[in-house]
Amino acid sequence: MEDQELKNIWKRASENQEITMDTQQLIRQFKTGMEQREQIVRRRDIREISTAIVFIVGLSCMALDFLWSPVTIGIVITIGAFLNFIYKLRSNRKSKFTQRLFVPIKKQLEQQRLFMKHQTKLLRTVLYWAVLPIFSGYMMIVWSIWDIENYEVSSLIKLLYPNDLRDKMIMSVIVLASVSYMVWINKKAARVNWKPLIDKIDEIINEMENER
Amino acid sequence: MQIASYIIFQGTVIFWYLLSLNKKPYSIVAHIQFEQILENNKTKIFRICRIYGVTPLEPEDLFQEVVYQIWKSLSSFQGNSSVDTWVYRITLNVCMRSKLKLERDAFKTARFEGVEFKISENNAIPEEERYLYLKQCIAELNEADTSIIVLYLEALSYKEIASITGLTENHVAVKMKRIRKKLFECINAKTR
Repeated sequence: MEDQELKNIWKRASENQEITMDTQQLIRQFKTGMEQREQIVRRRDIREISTAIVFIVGLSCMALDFLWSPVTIGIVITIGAFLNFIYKLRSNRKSKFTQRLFVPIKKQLEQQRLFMKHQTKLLRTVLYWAVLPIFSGYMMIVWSIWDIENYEVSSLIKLLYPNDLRDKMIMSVIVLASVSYMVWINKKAARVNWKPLIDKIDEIINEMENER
Repeated sequence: MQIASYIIFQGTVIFWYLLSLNKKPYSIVAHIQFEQILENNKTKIFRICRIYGVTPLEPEDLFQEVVYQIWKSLSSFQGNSSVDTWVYRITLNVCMRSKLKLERDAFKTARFEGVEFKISENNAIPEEERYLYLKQCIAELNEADTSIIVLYLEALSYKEIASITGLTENHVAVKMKRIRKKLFECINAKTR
């Protein structure tokens, strides 16, 4: 068999396939599809931002109640950590890395790999950039005050605040268990979800680069 | 006071106008361009999709995703490469991503009704078996080689293949020598 024969088989294979397209209808559907996809992203943005606003406003009100006490420092650290958390998530979005499908295949693969490596790093280091700052801020809030009844704060805060050693211990253990689980689940996601894909992309890039 | 409110009103109008400009409305020129690109390239796009489309992702689904991505990327086409190169790049990138299952959300959409696939009955193909062998042999190649061989079968020059894959022309030539040998060995073994 010769080269040309192979090319003919390849070309003729599509001759019996008739593809008819109604472009008007197709564009209408694409627009709807794109709007739906964009709406999902918009909803997620709104959800993130509104959660951040509620959280920051709530903590700021609390900070005003405890003005100039160690709790304020804890609250400032927690708000800072939370803002950093949102920033990290937004700056590492997929759309920033992999939307350019018209670039050469090798470049697209490298972009994908870069995105995945960022994600893996983010998941593996969640302890340092999210968990530790939030946890330490929260611990400062919990352990710095022992006389909540002397503060002019709302009755709800008085009710929820762990005021004695036993309550503080229980609260700390629960939070510690939750954040440990968060660290574990993130590291697992990096290992199970991203590592095999990065390896596969590395393999393809190597296949492309060899025989130079 | 009146002047201030007038300036604010004008400013708001200009601001919204600029915002609407940023949305890049889909122009009639782009529409015609899209229609033309599809008409000229639909067969070759589908030929490639037939290689990459494996159950549960059928070639038809893959074809639709490629067409969707072409439509979406149309505004960013700057003419730095030929339309053909641009289409091949999108097609292969979409196909490869689907095979690697990188796009978990992209294929959740329902099948678009604007595309219809028909098998013409009056066109019997004696070569179907040979095509099947070719397809099976391509499936035995690795991902990188697959992308190169489909472009070669599309009768593209090494220069064009290099531009689509991001490799150098020499590198493509070296690779093609080995891929071709492998492919012929496989097909000959099957047809014997």
